[in-house]
Formats: sequence, structure tokens, C-alpha cells
Amino acid sequence: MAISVARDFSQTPGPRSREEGDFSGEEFLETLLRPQFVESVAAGQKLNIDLDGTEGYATSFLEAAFGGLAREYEASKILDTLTFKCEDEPYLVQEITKYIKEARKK
Amino acid sequence: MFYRLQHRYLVRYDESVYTLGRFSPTMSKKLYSTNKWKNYLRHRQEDELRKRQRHRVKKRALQAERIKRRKHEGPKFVTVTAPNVFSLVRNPEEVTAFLRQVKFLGEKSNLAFDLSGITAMTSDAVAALVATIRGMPETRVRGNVPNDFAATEMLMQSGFFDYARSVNPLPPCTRGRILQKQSKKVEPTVARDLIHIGTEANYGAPRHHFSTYRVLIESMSNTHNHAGKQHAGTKTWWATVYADKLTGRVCYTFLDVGVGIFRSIKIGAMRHLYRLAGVTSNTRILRDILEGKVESSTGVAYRGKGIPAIYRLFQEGRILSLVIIANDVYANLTTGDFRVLPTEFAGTLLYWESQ
Repeated sequence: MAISVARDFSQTPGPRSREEGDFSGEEFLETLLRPQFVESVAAGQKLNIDLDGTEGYATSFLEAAFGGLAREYEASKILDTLTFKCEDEPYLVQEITKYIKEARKK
Repeated sequence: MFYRLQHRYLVRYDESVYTLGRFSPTMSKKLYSTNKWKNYLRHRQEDELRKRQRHRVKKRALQAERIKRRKHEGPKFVTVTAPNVFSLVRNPEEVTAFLRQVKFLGEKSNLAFDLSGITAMTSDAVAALVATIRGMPETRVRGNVPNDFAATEMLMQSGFFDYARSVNPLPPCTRGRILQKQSKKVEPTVARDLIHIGTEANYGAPRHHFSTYRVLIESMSNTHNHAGKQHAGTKTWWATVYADKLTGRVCYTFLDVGVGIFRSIKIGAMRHLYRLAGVTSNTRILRDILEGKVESSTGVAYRGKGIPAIYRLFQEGRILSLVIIANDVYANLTTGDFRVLPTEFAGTLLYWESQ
């Protein structure tokens, strides 16, 4: 299973929440990431996230999407399920992993 | 028997008895029913009406005379002279004082900008000036152009003269461009357009710049959130791009004319704690914000990564020449120059370059 952010969501990912503006991390989580993740876990498959082809990502978008998922599901389960393709900005994978691990930190 | 009124006293004449005193309820009841009293009231009302009418006519005549005089003389313009180095990045003290003066004078009169003495100019100061002018829609503005050719060309391309009138004819634009966008929300497509305009002007074709995109989205988001929950989305931001062909760099300015970092709700409370700990300067707080040591203005641990993320991009060399001006703090991250400004800047300004 796979999600291409540029193809399936937007080439211009936006802010954290819907109220801040269009193409938010919250919207990405609710419309694409969470449903696909649940489906992948149920099917016992990996979910590949293709981050290439966009204009870039704000930290708040990534935190809301992947950190948001980690606030609902176990971080270890997420890290086991998700794989990333990111040639435009390879450092994003490390950043996303950090957001997943630190999502529940208070 | 008859009654005569003298101010608040009633004088009553009888056939043989003469009395004088304040009128009593019994007397008043009798008095109010008389035609004399009714006539007296009617006359008084008519007098007052006539008086008011006379006053109104007089006032209108004066107003008409004033308008006629103003038309004859033309609108009054107050001249404001810009600093020679018109750059917030290079000359923050003088330019912030100038902007404060523009705001103060612009509330009372129309403004004529004398820009003839400018010898150096950067897009950040033009953006700040345009934002200040746009904040005073009632004020008419006009201005001349700098005597210095490079500064004139910079001003021509800035879009400044969309808002101000030049007293001299304008030469055509030949280099670069500054695009001004004004919004209260995070606008990802505007961020993309700004980057494409800047890169196209410099390299001939639009290119991606992931780091700049990140800075723009984070900054727009900060403007939206720093005003606090009650005022979220009510503050305006400006973003400009200028392609500098001489250096081969694209210069970006993001201007938040909202509350500024140090006036944001949580930072305001944090500042109070710093004061208690004996830290009086906002420069120290800005350093801590950049390093991610200060809690987000939203109060949630996983948020507030915007400004530290921008600083990290600068540290990693993915954006260049980062300058932050927030309220009374000026920080040039390239030179490590952190200082307190004598005149406070109304909001937050971020300037950076990409290559």
C-alpha cells in the first residue's frame, strides 16, 4: 500500500490545523494517513509514504500528521508499518521518526 | 386672576392679595391647564428650534468655507525624510524610528516621502514601509525617488509605487521583483508562488526551495497563532521576494504586523518569569526561543517548533543571512549581533536569503 503526498493530497502541504489554512497536517491525517494506516495494519502490510514532488514541508504539518497518528496508536506499531520514500529532502525521515517517538511526551 | 412666570418662581396676582414664592403642586396643576402656560411652552420651544437652526446654518457655512479653502490650497502633505541607509537589516535603529514617525504623522496628515537621500536600500525596509502605509487607508501618500541609481531601481521593482505617488516620471523595471502578499491565514500556494517568482527572476526558470517553503509556512502559522486563541487569524502578514541578480541570491522578507514574538501570550508570561530570574533583556529570551528552550505560545509540548526549525535551517546552511527583528530585539544570526532597539518594531520581521 502507498500514499504519494504530491499525487494524493497536495503539492503544497500547509500548516498544522485546518483552521490555520488549506492542506493541513490534520487534514492529511484524517483523510489519508489514518484510514490507510488502519487498513495496512489490518491487512498486515507495509504502508509506503512518498514525500517527494511537493514544494516542501513545514515541521508543524509533519508533526500534526505523523505525531498525531502516534498520539492515537503505538509508536512502535507505526514505525513497523510505515516506510518512507524521500529523495528531495532525505533528512525528513529522521525528523518524522523523532515526531512519532516524541508525540506523547508532555 | 392671572399668572406670570419669572424663571423658576411663580408670581400670583389676585384681586387684592399679592403673594410671591415657589409654585406649589396645587398651583402648578392649575397653571399647566391654562392657555398662557401652553403658549409660553410653545414659544419657548419655537425659540430653541430657531436658535438651533441658526447654529446649524452657521456651522454648515463654516464647513463649506473650510472645504473650499482646502480645495483651493490642495491637501496638506507632511514631508518625512527616509534614512540614508534604508534597510532594517543593516540600519535597524534609524529605520524603526522612521517607521514609527510615519505611523505617528500619518494618523494626522497626508505624507510626502523624501527618499532622495537614500544611498542603500533593501527589500525588507520597503516591505515594512508598505505595510505601515497600508495600515493607514485614510492617509494619502506620495514620494520622490532616490538620487542613487541602484536604490531607485530597487524601489521601482519593489511595488512601492503601487501605494505611493512619484513626483518624477518612473523609469522602467529591468531587474528582479518584489511581490507583496497580504493575508491572515497560512497560504501554501502563495509561498510556492513567491519562491517561483524569485527563482525564475534569477535563474530563468522556477525552482523548488524546500527550506524557504518551510520558513514561509512556519512564519504564516506563527502569525496566525501568536495572537492567541481569541484573535487567531486576525493579524496580517506580508511576504516579499526580491531576486538580486548582482549577488545571485533570492531575498525573502516575512513581516508579521501582529503582536510580535514578545507580545504573544505565552512568551509574555515567560518574559515575566525571566524578569523574576533577573533577566531583563529580550535578546536572551530570543536566544532561548531559537534554541527551542522556550515553550510554545500555545502551551502544548509538541508544538512551538517553528522558530527553532527556522534557526536549524540557518545553522545547516540551507538558508542564508537570517535576520530577526521582533518588538525591541534585533538579531543578525550571521554576525551574532543581538541588540535591543531604542524604538520598538511593531511586530516581527524575518529576512533571509537563498542561493
